Amino acid sequence: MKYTVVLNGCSRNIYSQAEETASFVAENLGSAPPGRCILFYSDAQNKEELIALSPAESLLLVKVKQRDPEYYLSLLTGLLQNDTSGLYLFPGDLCGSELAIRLAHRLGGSSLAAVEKIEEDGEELHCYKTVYSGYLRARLSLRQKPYCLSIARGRDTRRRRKAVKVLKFEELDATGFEKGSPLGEPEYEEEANGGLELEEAPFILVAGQGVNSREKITRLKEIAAEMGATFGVSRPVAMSAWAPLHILIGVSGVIARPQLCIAVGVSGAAAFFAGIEKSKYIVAVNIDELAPLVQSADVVVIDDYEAVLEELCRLIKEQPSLP
Amino acid sequence: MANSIVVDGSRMNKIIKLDTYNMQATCQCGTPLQVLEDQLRALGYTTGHSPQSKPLAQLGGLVATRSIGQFSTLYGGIEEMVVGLEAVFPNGHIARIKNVPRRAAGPDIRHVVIGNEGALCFITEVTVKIYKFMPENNILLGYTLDRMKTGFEILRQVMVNGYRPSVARLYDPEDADYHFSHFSEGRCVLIFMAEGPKAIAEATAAAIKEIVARHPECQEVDSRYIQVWFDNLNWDASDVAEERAEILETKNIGNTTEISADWEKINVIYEACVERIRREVPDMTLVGGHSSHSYINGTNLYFVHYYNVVDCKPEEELTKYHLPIKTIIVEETLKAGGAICHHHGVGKYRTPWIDQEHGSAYYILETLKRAFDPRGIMNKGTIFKG
Amino acid sequence: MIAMNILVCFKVTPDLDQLPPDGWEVDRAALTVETGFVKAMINPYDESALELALRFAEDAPGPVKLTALTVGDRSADRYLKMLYALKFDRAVRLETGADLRFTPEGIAAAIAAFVSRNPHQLIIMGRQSGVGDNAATPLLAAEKLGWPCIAHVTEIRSLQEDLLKVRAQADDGFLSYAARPPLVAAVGNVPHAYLRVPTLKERLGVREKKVEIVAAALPAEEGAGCTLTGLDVIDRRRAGLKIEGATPREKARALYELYLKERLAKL
Repeated sequence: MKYTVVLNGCSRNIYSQAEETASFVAENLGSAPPGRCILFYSDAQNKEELIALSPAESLLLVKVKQRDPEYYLSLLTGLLQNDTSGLYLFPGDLCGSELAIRLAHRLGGSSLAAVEKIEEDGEELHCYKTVYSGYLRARLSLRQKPYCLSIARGRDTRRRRKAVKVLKFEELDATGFEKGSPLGEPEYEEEANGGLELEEAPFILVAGQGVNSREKITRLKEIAAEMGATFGVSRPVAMSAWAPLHILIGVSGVIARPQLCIAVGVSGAAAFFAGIEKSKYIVAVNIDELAPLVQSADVVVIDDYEAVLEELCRLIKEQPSLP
Repeated sequence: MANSIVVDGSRMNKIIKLDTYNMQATCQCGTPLQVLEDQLRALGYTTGHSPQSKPLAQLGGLVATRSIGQFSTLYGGIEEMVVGLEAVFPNGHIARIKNVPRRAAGPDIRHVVIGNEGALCFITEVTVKIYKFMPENNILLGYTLDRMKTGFEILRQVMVNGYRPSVARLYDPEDADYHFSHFSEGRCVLIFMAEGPKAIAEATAAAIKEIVARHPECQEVDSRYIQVWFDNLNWDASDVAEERAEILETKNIGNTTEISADWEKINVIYEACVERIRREVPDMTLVGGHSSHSYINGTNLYFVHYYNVVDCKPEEELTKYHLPIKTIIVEETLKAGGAICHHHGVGKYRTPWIDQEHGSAYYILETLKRAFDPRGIMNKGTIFKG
Repeated sequence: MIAMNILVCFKVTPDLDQLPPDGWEVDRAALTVETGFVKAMINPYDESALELALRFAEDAPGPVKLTALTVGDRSADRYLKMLYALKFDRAVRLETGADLRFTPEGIAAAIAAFVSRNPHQLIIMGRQSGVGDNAATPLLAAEKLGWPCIAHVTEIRSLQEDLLKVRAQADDGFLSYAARPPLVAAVGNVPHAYLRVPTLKERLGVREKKVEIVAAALPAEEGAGCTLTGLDVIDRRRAGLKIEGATPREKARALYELYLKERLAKL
């Protein structure tokens, strides 16, 4: 089945977009004919670097001047009117997951968000994804082409894959394109609070609601930095605005895939756990032995986190070879 | 709290002896109940004591507050469970009450210590009875019904006819809606758990079913609803933190007040309090309650009252909402001859009414205070007016 | 000034965290899990949507009419009644009798049909709900209506008559729009957005009001939807090795020496 990957090069998470889609393609579409990548970019970016990211042998680089989903949607709808791809793949980030669903409707196809795996079966496409807030895995079957899917985040991209060489390259300047939507161009405000770093970080420290004050959250953030860990929080902490939204870990936020995760004061419901379950090694520190996370962690310390973390931090800092 | 020292016994947390032949467990005062209970359950035993504070509460405090747990209708309150103890008095005297099953060697001096809330002495060691743990025999029963009066009558019949379910709870429609909206349908909810040796659990459950059947307004509820409720009964630190966040955001805060009375008076007190709070206190969002600890001669009532804090500085909340609610409940309970503190203890907030609560018997209580703490150094303002 | 009609769509969902680990048993024939015995709640994203709508109405320069809409069974009715107490003007339930878990197309079509019969200028709803996790309904509703849509909304308020200020989360920052209705706003993670609580007096005041129930089959998805063909429990258990120690510091030391030192060196 012919497939096309759509990437948003204007967003600073373009590297994980590319890695995740490449990994999905390698694992699910290995035997398909080589596909195409459409990559949006803006003036500010390095074209050569973006070309090197392409997960497909054929690349269409589209220069844009605006960066909002509705703009990309209009552009794509126009570009793909006569396209014969049976499958469009989007990264599972905020932009990609919106585009997949809306584009499917405009192209007369069908869609699913956060897909982990696919199997082609004649006239059907079987898609696997987690449902019930992360407690169950469903197999959902689509019948109407083109299939527009956003990929589940948190893919294990550590396995080496062959770098893809772009054999067919096209460019399009769409800076004059009018999106034709009553929605005006939005103002963009960059987020500098560590959300992107969290997705890629090899070592993370996550604070949950058991860390029950803004001051304690701030202190843990300092401890994380001293330990060499990237800091994240569970949804309740972000909802209290004790930490920025972009470092919210869980089904509705960052899906991390570190080598090491230390989760502190987190009870560990499935919707949160989805954000750390790809961790190679999970340490849970919690005063409550019955917290769900205790069953899903590799190693567990049942105690008040404050003394444990301060001591752990001290020991790590003393270590001669600090990462 | 000026010029005070807080004595914290939580580092005295050794479990001294688990004696499964004489059915007694001895621990230092700082032993968390959860720790003791977990160790006992691993051996096939239980304390039978399950207050909602179990993950945090320590043995010394549980005795000092005359605490009660969720299974008290079978096991009784802490006063039924304590065997012996050790306590330190303000003059430095260390008193050890030895472990015996029962004696008549003068008045039962344990009752001077149990419930003293730190106003007479400091408890350093506790021995409690233990029981065989047989959760496999638990039977849960649930019903919805129209009237609290009917519910109280059913509870009474269960107790009077000699049955001791470990859980016997009656929720009024408001409180039921808060916990059981997925099946309560705006009605009262009645919940029982029969526990113990198989034959007894089964006989207890059968008797309860038969008693309930005599009241056609009762509708049985699938026990799976009750099982899920039971499994989620106690909160962890995360739940507490989440509630705190929600309160801060919505400015909606709830509290509880527990009283007890005999069968004749309990519904009278319930109706009077609920009616008065709804009418007299502003911004209430929930006024209701449930009975959760029954005796042959009466039961408790656990009022639940939530309100939106509106146009009110933090320091004014006490006078605008909190005290008016407490005052109504205390007044109606005293009027009917009930007890104004069933199991939360007096603390500081019910101290103003302590002499009314005890009447002429207050003499006994205040003499104890004069005898043991003449200088009034122990937990000033608790139980005894400071 | 004409009133602005705002529609808030919400879903009532079981509190899945209440199910014990062994409660997750899949009925292989029906491809369902029994969640009926667990307490229900308003889907958290929809709860934020409802609260945002109430704040919008409070601060709007002109009159606002609020309609709450849900597609579901009668377990939603007590929430609809509660929304009357919170001053929603209409509380509507579409009764379809269908399995709604993986049918965002059908639900979106039902919402679009409702809006075409009952004109609204702004639709606010949560971006996804916790059973289906489809994350599609608001997007598809916008597509079917041909309306602009802003996803991952964190803030929405009136700038002036007929102009809305909408802030949304993007992958690496925030996007701020000045938008004209009609608009669909899909609400994401919004700090400080618990739904307010109605007083007894407010509830008493609407005791006689009835929920509007409309019985209608869920619109067919014409092939664009998906079919559930498999459902399995995910086993996430790991070793859960407990670290022993007399004090927190001892435990920290044991944790570090036994399990972390080497791992950290390899990072």
